[in-house]
Amino acid sequence: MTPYRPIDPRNDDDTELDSAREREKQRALALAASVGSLMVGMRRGGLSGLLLGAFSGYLAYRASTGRGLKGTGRALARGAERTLTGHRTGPLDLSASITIARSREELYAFWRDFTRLPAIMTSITAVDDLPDGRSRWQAETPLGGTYEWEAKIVEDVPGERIAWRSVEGSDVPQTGEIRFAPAPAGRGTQVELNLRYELPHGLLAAAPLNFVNALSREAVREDLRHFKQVMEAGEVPTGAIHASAHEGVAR
Amino acid sequence: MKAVCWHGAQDMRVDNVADPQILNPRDAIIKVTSTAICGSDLHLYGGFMPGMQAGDIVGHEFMGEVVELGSAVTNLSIGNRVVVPFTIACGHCFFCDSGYHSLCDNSNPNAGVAEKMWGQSPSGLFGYTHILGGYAGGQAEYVRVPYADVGPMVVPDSVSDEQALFLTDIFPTGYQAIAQCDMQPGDTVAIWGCGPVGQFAIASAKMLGAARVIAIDTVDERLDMAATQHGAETLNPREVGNTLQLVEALRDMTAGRGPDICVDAVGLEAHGVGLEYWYDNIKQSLQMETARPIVLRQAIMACRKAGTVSIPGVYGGIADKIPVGALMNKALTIKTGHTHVQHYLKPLMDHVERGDIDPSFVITHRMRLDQAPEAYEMFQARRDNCIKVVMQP
Ligand SMILES: NC(=O)c1ccc[n+]([C@@H]2O[C@H](COP(=O)([O-])OP(=O)(O)OC[C@H]3O[C@@H](n4cnc5c(N)ncnc54)[C@H](O)[C@@H]3O)[C@@H](O)[C@H]2O)c1
Ligand SMILES: [Zn+2]
Ligand SMILES: [Zn+2]
Repeated sequence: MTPYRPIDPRNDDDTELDSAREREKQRALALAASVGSLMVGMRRGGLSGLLLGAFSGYLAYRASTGRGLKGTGRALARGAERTLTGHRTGPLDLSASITIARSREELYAFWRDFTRLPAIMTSITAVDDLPDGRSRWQAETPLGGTYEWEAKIVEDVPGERIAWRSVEGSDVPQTGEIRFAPAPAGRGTQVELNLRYELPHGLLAAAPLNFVNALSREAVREDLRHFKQVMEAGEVPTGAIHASAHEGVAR
Repeated sequence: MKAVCWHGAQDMRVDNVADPQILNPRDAIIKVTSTAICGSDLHLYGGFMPGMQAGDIVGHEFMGEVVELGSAVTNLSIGNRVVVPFTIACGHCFFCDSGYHSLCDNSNPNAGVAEKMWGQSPSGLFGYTHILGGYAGGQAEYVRVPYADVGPMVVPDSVSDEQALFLTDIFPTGYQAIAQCDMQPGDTVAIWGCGPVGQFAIASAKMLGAARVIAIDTVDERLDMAATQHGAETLNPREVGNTLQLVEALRDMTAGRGPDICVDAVGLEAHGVGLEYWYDNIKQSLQMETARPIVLRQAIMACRKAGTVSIPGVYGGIADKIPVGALMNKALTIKTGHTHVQHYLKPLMDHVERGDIDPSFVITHRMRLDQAPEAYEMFQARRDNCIKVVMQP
């Protein structure tokens, strides 16, 4: 998603953001800030609220391009960073839904093969099938580490619902559920993704903590959008023009 | 390759950049043979469109030769001469299936950002803001075209580059501005803005059978083109006066009824007369509104009861003092949006092929891609009677 840049180094105002890690961190910070100002904007209402809403859109756009908050207010960024890396406990529930112009059966069949999910889930780098409905998941954390866990399917209703949970003893116990319901008047399928992460008390290893801290409703929504793009258009779009600038999701 | 890149307000440069590559199976690479500057590019050039980044390749009106194809594109061949819609559309979502290609659900990689600004995301666009995808544009030697199996259209040999080029945007845009209004026999159409979009709206109104077309602009050469090319009646706000006086003039010209269809082919950078213009100008420069909606106000105020206000002119954020009372009390219909180019491409190409219209009438300047900075400057200043610039790489 990083836009194409001319090769002339004089035109490159992004050199200090060279490392992908730094970009990822900026992305997370800007997204967090954007959501924050959107909420404030909504609560305020009126014109100033609308403007704050628009500002949050702008921040989210910076997040999406990996430019984050650079130059938008470093103090703000530091504050957001503390909030983000601070310890969080208790359950974290993330849900999103989307309408896809495909049958429930087709969508179910794609999702049921977990090994295909890295093509649409930005943070998941690999899923390997294990025997007995179990699978091994690998995620890349925003700060460049990796985090692995094992999950097993706990409910499987073809064309309707798949539910899975991490196995006993995981660092971050988690459950996931995807539901498929017919949209009205033959307009495809309404897909709902529900994720829950149980954050235990006490200090966690850096990788799982970083992974969970990077999760957001926006990220879940984005993954569902990729699902829709793959199912309807056959590919995830990218604005890049050449491969070295192509840091979108894996395909 | 060479490409025209945005570096900030009033700063377009021809940069040396890497060639594009096939990134997705449905991509094609086009070698550009002709490309034009659009009034929408002026919004970028003026610095009024949020979401631009220094180095972005601009341009969304382009055509050329297919030089490379992704594995999933089977309907085109290397060497085909094609025109490419400026709206990037997947061809398979609910909106594409309904003919609303500029609202494609799947083509904007930054849809999440657009949703924050507008509630839902329209399609991606070539060479425009990152809010609409940040796709590299076609004012370049080569361009990557996504969904090439449903977008580009092969140009018949009998149609020249100059006749085909405007099918990418401004001809369908002017056409949609009228076609979406459910025009009835006897209708009078008033069109604000006689730039390229306005010219094609005027031509289309005539083609679709409008009884009268009233063309409104502040630039005399453009009014002349509207009158001589399409037989429109003309009105210059500089001579008529402020918004109230203009609305009154239109009421008088239509025996009290008001134009049945009012088209805003000007958009967010409208000029105006007196206090109203200064009010919007100051608010816009303080970023308290993102547009100077002078024409939109006039169109709503002038429009016939139960008439239609059609808005091809581009807006980005929020605008002030829209006469919502007139809108409601007169039961007006609003029609707007980016153009569903894919939907109109075939029928309009047929019109061109049959000789019903020669879209090249609007071209005033032919230049090299190298001269883009000069071309932008001239088009923005409307110098040298400049209405439409076509460039060749
Ligand atoms: N909807 C779409 O898909 C689409 C496609 C292409 C262009 N556009 C938009 O259409 C608009 C026009 O494009 P263009 O290429 O013709 O641009 P342009 O800049 O050449 O034309 C705009 C014209 O409006 C005139 N104008 C300014 N203020 C006026 C006023 N108060 N009253 C009457 N006329 C006034 C100008 O003198 C100029 O002739 C732009 O906003 C552009 O972004 C939209
Ligand atoms: Zn245009
Ligand atoms: Zn589509």
